[in-house]
Amino acid sequence: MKRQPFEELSGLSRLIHDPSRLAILTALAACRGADFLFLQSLTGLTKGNLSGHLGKLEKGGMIEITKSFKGKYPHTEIALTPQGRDAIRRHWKQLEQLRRAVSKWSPAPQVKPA
Amino acid sequence: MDDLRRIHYVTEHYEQLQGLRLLPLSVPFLLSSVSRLAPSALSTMPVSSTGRTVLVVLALVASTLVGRYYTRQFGQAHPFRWRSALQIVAGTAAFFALEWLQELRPFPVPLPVLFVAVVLARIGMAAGWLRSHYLWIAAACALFALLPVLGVPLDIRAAALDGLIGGGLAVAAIGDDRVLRRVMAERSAS
Repeated sequence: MKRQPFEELSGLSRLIHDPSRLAILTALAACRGADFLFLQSLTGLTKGNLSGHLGKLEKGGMIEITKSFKGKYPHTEIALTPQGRDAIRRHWKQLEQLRRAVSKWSPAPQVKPA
Repeated sequence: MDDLRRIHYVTEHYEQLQGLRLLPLSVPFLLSSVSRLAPSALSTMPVSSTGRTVLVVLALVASTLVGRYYTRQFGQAHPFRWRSALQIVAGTAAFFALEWLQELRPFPVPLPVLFVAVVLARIGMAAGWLRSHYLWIAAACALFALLPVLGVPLDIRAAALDGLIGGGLAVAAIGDDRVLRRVMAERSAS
């Protein structure tokens, strides 16, 4: 039996579907890796928030974080793991399927207030 | 989804969107164009072949420094080199194939220039018209391709070509820089 859109929605990974984490993973999927400052500039998150989201993604096995020093300054590089790359591709596919399914729904008739 | 598409596009094309890196490269071409149109106006400026080489070298040095500025400002993203290399190889091959075709059988309009116009228009329409300024450069290329048909003399066309390259680089530089800043600022504000 074919799955309904709402069932698809419940199947979305909450780790990935959070808007900030989805933005981070989308950016990382478009490159080999990026540094902390780039992700911060692109997502507009504060350092603390970005660190929190990166920690969750690392714990979930989606990304790997490499910390080093460039001269005197600390430098953090972030890249998707193969598992993370597969997961974000699957997630986009699910979102696209949902979007297609929802676009077929007819809008509910508007009820005028008495 | 549009937001995600923009994030993906900006990350994938981050190096290209560091527009101001192109700005110094536009200077030798614009100077050359002006010197061809009004030789007396630039008699004291170094636009001879040696002077032009020096200007190009200086422009490349300036471009590297501007690149470092972007890295300090927005950070670093490492693109998939093979993708952009593949596109450059395919584009260059198509350009020279059209050049060869043009020599084999002269067409009234230069096919390589029209090809460049089509490529630029495609860039202009990508990711929801994010880089729409490329459509203006594409239109200028298409207009330039019509110059032989309109009977414009060769020396004017040579000056127009330098002007087109210089002007195109300047428009691309400023436009791409604005796109990058807008996308980064939008995300920061949200």
